[in-house]
Amino acid sequence: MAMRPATSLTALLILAVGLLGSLEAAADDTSRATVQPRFAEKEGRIAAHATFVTLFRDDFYRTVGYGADVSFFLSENLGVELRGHNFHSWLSPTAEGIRDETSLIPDLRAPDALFTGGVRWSWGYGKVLTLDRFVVHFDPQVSFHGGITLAERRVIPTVTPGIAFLTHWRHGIQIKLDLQWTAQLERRQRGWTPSFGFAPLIGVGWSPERRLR
Amino acid sequence: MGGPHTSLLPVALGLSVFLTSCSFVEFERSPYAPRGFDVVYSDQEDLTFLVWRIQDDARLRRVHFELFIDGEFQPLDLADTAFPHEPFDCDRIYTCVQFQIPGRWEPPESGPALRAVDRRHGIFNATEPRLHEAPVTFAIDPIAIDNNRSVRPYLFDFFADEDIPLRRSFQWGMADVPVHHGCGAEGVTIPNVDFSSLHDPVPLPQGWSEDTPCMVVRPHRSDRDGDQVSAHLQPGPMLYGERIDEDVPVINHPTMIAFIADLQVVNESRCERIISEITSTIADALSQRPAPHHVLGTFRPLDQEGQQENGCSQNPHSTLPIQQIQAAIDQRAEIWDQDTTVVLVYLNNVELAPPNNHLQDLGNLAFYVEDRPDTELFTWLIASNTIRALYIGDEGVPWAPLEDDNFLPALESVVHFHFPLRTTDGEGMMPLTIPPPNAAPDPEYVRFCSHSPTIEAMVGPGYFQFFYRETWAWRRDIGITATIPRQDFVSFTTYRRESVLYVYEVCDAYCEAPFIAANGERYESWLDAERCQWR
Repeated sequence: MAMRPATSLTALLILAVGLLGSLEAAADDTSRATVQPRFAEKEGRIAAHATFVTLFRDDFYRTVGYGADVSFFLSENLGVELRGHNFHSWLSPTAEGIRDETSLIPDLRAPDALFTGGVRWSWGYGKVLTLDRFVVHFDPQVSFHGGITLAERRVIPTVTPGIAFLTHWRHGIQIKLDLQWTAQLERRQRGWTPSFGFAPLIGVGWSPERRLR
Repeated sequence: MGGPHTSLLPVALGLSVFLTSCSFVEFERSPYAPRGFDVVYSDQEDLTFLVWRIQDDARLRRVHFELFIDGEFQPLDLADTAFPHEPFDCDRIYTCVQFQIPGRWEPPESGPALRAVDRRHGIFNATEPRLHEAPVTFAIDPIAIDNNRSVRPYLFDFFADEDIPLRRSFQWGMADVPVHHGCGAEGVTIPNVDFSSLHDPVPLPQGWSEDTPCMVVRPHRSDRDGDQVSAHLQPGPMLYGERIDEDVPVINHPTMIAFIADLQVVNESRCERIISEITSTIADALSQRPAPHHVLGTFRPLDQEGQQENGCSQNPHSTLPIQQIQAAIDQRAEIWDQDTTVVLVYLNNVELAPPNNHLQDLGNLAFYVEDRPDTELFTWLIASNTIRALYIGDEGVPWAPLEDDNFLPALESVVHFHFPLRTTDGEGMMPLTIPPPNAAPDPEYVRFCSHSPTIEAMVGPGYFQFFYRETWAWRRDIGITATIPRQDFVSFTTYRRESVLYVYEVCDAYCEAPFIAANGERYESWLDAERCQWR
């Protein structure tokens, strides 16, 4: 049935240009550039977020989910993270039409849950003045997670590389936007078959100011 | 921070979503969609059986089923039916679901007859039903087995025969009802039967065969008592398996041995030493063997005056002491009074042919021993290569000096290899009695299930019949004779040990009744079957 080839190279190039534009071009000297003073530090701190996520796989399902993650930063740059999502999926109108006529459904199963663990690399720190009034402090980040997706009775190996924007607010409150790509390998009736998708996530959480170490 | 490039970010992300999503989707039949929908109407039970399959990776708690009844789809309560059963694994990759409707159910003329409603994915229609009609869906044809201690009901199950997975249990009971009172009649309900779960086989109560037993079976329904079927239960044959497993007896013959020294050794004391070492080595080896032996002596040639020489001079005019050896053989044979091996050991170390008169003497001696009815000749040459090439004995060992470390051990090996010579006991026919099994008080027939070697005849007091069939009427003190391949005076190590193995079974009652043979097949009469219940 329907199938669309994955061509991500162009999009990734565009994305890279956008991200690089956010770098300060004047950092010619060899000393580390800093933003003084930092509004929020992450090293030695734990953070937890409630998350809302969607999953786009071009799979004839509509999928949204919610969950939570917990992270701990070993340094100002590097953190480890555990994450869990519960999904709600339903057939797309197109698939419903096919189901009604033929009792056929997509051969990949609708996802029920995703559990991953991984690392998060905070490669910068910045602040931006918005509306001439609000200063938003943020970390641009990259992340890489691995884990499993549960889809009915199938257990599907899953990896989710991504980029993220973590913003810091008063009282340790954090809001982040994670843009994750998903790669899965599912054992369908015809055998092991990959699927690729995109899972943007919004998280709202809190990181206590006291350090754990 | 900031700059013109940052405005590209949302665009890039949107493109990423669009371009990186791909799941290589193919459409397949939903695991929740019912398929393999069998509909069986049973005349016998006036019930419509419905069985359908869904894929075994479907989550059953997410789904319920609806059947087209009276013009509309009605949800099914799978527990509220005649034979409720949890959905069960079937046909390798499916889960089977069953439901029954009283009376005859007809599917709609068009459109789906059954559908699954999945809470997540919605409604899935079943495939077209496969309609069956069965006058009889269960029956029994019981047979008593295991010497009437249990019964195999031989339950006919339409669904099993047609490979339609249906899970239901049956109950059974016994009633003292003769055939002319309805046992076995179609549609007759036998009253006052105490039912219990039916297994295969079911143990029977003791003494049942003296009554007029009627076996009654019914399916175990949840809503009411199931319809009955019944059949007269006939006692089966009382069979007792036995086996005869015996070694064929063997005779180890006594050995008498005579040494004839015909050597050429200049040194007289060395000559004596050589003869002594050889004879004592062989005698010692014989003493370790499992049969009596006797050394007749060491015999040396006689000169022209009849005087015994030293055995090491190779006098061409001497003769061998044949008469002395014959006398010694006669004497020992009289004492033993049984078949005996006479071993003549000829010692000659000269690489020349012996004198003609010696050869003639040896030949006469050999004829003498072979002519005796109770002796078997065994000639053993311990001699030079020339002698052993000229004259063939039963055994030959090349001559070697005593200093050769292998010479005397070679003589010992010959003794251990050959002696005592062995013979199969009996004249090729082995009589065997057939003991009746202890549990069979009054045997009627005996049947041979396997026999090795072939049975020659059935024998008994005043009775002889060549064996030509497997089953024989039982007689008191009946026995068999078996043909045993005979081995006569064979070397100890080459003798092939023989054994007999006979498996038989004795029938002492109901011998013409049906039974199940060891191959698992049912036969309507043990007497006619030519098969055994025991292996």
